[in-house]
Amino acid sequence: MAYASADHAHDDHHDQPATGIKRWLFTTNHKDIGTMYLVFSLIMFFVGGAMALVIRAELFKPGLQLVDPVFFNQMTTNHALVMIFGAVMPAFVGLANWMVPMQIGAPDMALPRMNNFSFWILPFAFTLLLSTFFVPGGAAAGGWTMYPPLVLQGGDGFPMLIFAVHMMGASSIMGAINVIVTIMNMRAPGMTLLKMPLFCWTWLITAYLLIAVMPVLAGAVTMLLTDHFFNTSFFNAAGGGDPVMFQHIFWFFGHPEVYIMILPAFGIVSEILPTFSRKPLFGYDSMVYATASIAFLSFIVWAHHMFTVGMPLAAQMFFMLSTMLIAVPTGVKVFNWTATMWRGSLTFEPPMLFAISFLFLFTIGGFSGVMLALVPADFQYQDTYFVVAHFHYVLVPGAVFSIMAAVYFWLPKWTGHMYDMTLAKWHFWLSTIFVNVLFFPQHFLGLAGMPRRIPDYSVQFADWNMVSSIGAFGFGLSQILFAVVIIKCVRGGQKATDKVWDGARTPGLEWTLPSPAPYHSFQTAPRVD
Amino acid sequence: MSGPVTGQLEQRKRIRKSAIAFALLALGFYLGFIALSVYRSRH
Repeated sequence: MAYASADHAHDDHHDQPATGIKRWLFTTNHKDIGTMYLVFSLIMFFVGGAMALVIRAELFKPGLQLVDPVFFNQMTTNHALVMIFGAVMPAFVGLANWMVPMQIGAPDMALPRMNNFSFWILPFAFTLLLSTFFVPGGAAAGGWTMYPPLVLQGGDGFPMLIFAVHMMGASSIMGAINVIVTIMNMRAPGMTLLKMPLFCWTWLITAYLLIAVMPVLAGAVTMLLTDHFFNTSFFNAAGGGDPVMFQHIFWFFGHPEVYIMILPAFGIVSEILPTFSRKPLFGYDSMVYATASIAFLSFIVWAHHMFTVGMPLAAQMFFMLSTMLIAVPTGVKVFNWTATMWRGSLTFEPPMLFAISFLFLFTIGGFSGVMLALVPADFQYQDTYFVVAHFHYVLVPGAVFSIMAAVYFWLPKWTGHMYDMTLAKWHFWLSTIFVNVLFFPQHFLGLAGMPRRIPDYSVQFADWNMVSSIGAFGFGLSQILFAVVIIKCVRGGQKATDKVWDGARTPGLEWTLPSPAPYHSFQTAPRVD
Repeated sequence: MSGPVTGQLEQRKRIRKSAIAFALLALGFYLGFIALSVYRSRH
């Protein structure tokens, strides 16, 4: 592929951003909105991380140490909600805002005003969610899954939680519509779908997942609301309803949600590994088809989250086998990434380090996922720390590491400065060591029978809990380095070249732009041959 | 920038139409799942 040069300069009155607070409140620029999403996500990452540290501090020793059990349960519940809806998802939307238009040669997102709206909903949603800690009855404490009947026993915080979830859903749906419409309508001439960068592909598929399942979550919580306030009995057994139906509906959203948090990560890793291997991505087409297969399969596996509620044997078999089937396209991806690196001219800059760490550690999370898919084994693992270890391996060294890799990959393009490589490598090594110290022992605890979501535990679990808590504090403190690297880079540093990385994908539109990327890019669409 | 040329107008129409279509699709999933739950509760 080759690109005709494009005129990036543009001299109308929109060329420069507004000044002061107005720039951020009223902006319709994809780069500004992307920045706001990323900053918001980083703040939420620290808020959710602080909650995690309360949990791990309490679990440092057996016995009740620091917080009362209700507050502990509020921490587990809100840690999950904040990390999923406040940190990981907005981070990926922020990355999509920055990179999708630049990668497809579009001047901006297709629906810029809706883009602004979908961001600004989030601070209100999370203010509402976090303010539930200060109302009578306190914050939700029944788990992020909001299972009835427990969640219906909440106090004044309950309707606030439901409204906050609705707002997060609306924001996500609008973001998803924007991504789909942008990719389908605004690609540069000549950029066919199968010429798109993998990050755009994975985001396109993620956006379809979001549109399909976020309304399902909204529907489920709306029914919780009517059960609580309007005497309906969707999930109330006393009124003829069925609490298990909530679990089915919730996980019909919840499992695709897992892939919403990991497919963009696959796209990021598929951008980074070829760059630092100085080779094209191995098996591009199969990567696209594998992503689509994973997305399809994500809709037919939901009941593996609830094997122990009781279901017909045929249903157990179906959900077990369909779940195990996901290992096939995922295996294709892991194989392709490995083959991309094979005999490449590898260098180990921070994005590459995080991407390789992702490859190993996400695969560990994938393996424990296959173990959990086995019905008889799951009966043992259900609600133990083995599950906690599994999904944290998928989400922390999986999704979160991919976000860090993406930031280290594209930060020079955004700011025009190279960052402090030494500090970033320290951040990587400390994060990778501590994330394993934190989560690997949780496998042992789970296999030994330690239940999740409890503030106290039997004394035989003491040693590994102490190790896990040390890992948590080490991991948490290491993230301060991440913030320091970013702030230093934004404030200045060695000038970045346009291409930034010498191995950057040659047919890559984002690398044809100057560093920092101009406020308006691709006013004239580039031509992709 | 002067007014949009014909191609841009068509693109804007396409964008608007597809955005509305996806919003309706999302609304359909929302109402559809509530309707399914109502049906399931009654049978």
